[in-house]
Amino acid sequence: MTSLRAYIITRISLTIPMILVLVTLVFVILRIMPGDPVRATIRPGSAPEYIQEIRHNLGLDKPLFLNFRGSWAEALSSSVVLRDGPSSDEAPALILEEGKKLSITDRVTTLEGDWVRLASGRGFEGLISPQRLDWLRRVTAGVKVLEETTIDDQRWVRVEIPGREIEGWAPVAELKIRTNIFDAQYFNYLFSLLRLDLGTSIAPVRGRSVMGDLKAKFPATLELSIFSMIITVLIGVFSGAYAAQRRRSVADYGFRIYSIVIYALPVFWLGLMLQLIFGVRLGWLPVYGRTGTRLAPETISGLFVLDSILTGNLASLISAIKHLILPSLTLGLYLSGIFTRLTRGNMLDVLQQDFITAARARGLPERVVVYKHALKNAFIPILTMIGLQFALLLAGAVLTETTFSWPGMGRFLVDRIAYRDFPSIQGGVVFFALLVTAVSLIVDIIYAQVDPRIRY
Amino acid sequence: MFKRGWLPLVGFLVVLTFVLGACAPPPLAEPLIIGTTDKVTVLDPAQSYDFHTWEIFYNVMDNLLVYDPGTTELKPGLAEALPEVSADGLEYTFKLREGLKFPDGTPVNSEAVKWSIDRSVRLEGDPNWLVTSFLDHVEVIDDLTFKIVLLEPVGFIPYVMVNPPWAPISPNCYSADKFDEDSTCGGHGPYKIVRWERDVELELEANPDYYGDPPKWPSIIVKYFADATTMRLALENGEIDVAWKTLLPTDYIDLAANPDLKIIEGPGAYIRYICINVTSPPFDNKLVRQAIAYAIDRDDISETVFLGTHAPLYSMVPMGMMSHIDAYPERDLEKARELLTEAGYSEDNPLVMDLWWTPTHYGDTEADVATLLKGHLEETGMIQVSLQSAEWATYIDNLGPGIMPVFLLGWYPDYLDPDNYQWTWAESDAADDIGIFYSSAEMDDLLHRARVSTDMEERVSLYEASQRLYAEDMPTIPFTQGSLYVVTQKNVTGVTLAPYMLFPYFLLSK
Repeated sequence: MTSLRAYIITRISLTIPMILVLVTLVFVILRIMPGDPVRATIRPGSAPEYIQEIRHNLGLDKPLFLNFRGSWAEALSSSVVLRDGPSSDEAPALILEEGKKLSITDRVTTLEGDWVRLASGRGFEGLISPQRLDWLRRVTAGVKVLEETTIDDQRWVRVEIPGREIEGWAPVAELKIRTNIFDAQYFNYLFSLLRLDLGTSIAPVRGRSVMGDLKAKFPATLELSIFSMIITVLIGVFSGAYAAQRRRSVADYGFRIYSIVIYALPVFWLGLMLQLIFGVRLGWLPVYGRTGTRLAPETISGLFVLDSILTGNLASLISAIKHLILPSLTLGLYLSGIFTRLTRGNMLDVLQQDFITAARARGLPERVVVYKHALKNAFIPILTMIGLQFALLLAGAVLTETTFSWPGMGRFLVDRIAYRDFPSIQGGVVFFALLVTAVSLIVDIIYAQVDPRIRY
Repeated sequence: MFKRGWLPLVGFLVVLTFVLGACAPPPLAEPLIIGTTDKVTVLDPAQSYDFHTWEIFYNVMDNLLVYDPGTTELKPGLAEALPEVSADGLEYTFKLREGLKFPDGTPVNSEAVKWSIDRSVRLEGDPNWLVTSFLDHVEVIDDLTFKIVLLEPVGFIPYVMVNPPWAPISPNCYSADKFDEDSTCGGHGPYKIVRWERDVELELEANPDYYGDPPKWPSIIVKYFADATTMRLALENGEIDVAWKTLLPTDYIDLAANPDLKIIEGPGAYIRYICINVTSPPFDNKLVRQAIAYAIDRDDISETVFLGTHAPLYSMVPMGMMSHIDAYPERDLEKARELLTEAGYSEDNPLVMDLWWTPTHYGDTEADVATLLKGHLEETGMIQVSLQSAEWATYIDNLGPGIMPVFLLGWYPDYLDPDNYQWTWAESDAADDIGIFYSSAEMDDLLHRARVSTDMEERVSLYEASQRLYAEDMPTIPFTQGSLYVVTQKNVTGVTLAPYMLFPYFLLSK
């Protein structure tokens, strides 16, 4: 099996460039799309200074790909005056003292030359212009005035401001600027991705760990996917095999029509109908959520069915399964049409082969011929399809999760896309990509087990 | 695969785990279940800034002063009595009730109050301005007495102080230097949080140490729904007792016919309005803005889109709030045409304009609102409207000059005072931040005087004057005010709604 090992290693190493391309694409598309995650979460009418500060703290004021404007700056002379705008006519905001490092948040060229916008670290102590003080008073009450002085005929106050950044513009000529061209949003994201750090959310809740959110949401989606896949394969394969066996019968036509109709139905409509019939009219099954009230089992794997078995919680198990029926039926039925058609087609091919004729000639019952000998051989393309359908299943899960208030990844990503929460969307895409790769790899390995002719 | 011999053993183990698991936990009180499509953002009063999370706090975290449920009156909460106010209006001295504890056992004392307010200031969360715009510092006098010192006198400060960033919380339970996103610490209130699964459920249990009347129902569960339709199905299916914000307007009409359910309507201070960038031609011409105000049909929007769940509104200050007057004119197409003619337009030379709206932020009804408004304006025969839409993240980014000259917004109160419904758009600096760029020295003077005055009659007359002046200049045009609706199972009692829009779970029973 060394060749299989080599195959697996090749496949895994191919995922790396794939993910790189994918992340780059998503990154670019998200930035091209209009919309700003920071402004989406704070109320209209917030002070622009406050918005700018949040953006700075999140690193969103850095250039996207390459940073030519510099990362941080130090004063060359003993004091450099920072101004409210990139012009010497603007009001002086604060004095940058020698030896103090400030990060660069913007850079422009004006008639007067090159200007950079600088931000002090959080928690400022230094000289600030009295005009600036009024604004600070408005957004933070923690300003402590230490002394007042006059420098170059201008009034300044020495203040202490805990945990707030102060910003201003200064001419490039007066500063020593350090540049790291990779200090940009894209490369910073890639570097943290290398450390397996997916970063933190921007919106709607700033600072949540993306990895943590994905970990919390993934089991719900996985559980739904597994059960849907089981339903899809059961319905699809058996209806397809049955249709092939009774070729051109009423049942055959029936299943063929079924496969087209079910695939054409909008999945949320199907879900809604099942909710109305089995939930509201008949009252047999719950219409939303993963378990009943207070019935969530202790979390071990996050898969409620598995967890309730492991903890021996019968009430949870029953509740979890009841809640799973409608959503997984919705998603399972939706995808089953493809499998019906595929199985039927393959079965028809296989049923015409010599070994089937031979099996029949040996006097084996028709049931054994069809479901044991023929189906087994028709199964390989179906396996491929399971691998391919997995991506579709995740996409279908988005709509199904919304219809059934299922707290999974699909719902999570749709929410975050509306907020332009870059890190969550990027993280989700990377996660999905890894998942689809892993599933198709597993399918490839299973091939070799099912079909001894396949060698890698 | 399992060999045959394994199966009985596995079966036995599964059965065994269930037998052991059957040693059930003690039964819990039957919960009253509230469904909502809102979401909790951050369970930390220093960072959250949305109505639903504030509502949770309202039920688990009393403030120094609290609303008397169902009214807009304030009554002492954790404080023993209303504060003593110094003659200059700058110092508010509070005394706390004796012997109160947070759920973790930490005493509610002056140090905790100071710590909590200082923390809100220090952490600079989104609602931080509700504290820092007004507060200078908090001064501890003794264990139960403390003084809140303001930057300048503010007439409505008690209404600001009922908001979560001012709420006393336990210094031993919350982090001093960061936000606790999923904290279940709460504060001292009618309920305490016992379980929290994000986007799934929040469970509250009556707080046995609460100073006030115990909650009517000992256990509340809030369930989070992804969409309104699923919530409606769950209500009809009997899986939830109360459907709170927000079902679709059509749902309220349908559900009214259901004999197992009842609908309760309450006042709301949620307003909808058109914003106009007054620096962007041709809207820098006051006549054009006035023509728009005369052309729109508020009754049509209220009836057709909101099916009566929103009422027509003729001022930025909502109905039911102190000083509200109907300052804007009613619909008058002839008058609108006159104004447009005066501004130089005619049927051959119509005013061509964009009207911006956003599809999801204000619910599924927004497309209809925009379409109706377009129809109303075009009925003058002298305006041609093209509708433009953008998702919220983009929309809010577009508030800058030029991009969206005319656009739709909505407003929920930050605090229940006309100040919050006037300052935001009418004060020169604030108007820049919201993208309408209105500026009037006379208006600024009225608003600044009204803000610092503590004489109620004077404030009412100042706000009446500001509403009249504002309706003359028309940088924004209000059209409807939303009511609040709750649908419950027939046996649920104690639903109490008020303009402060927070739902008191502690009065519910079934």
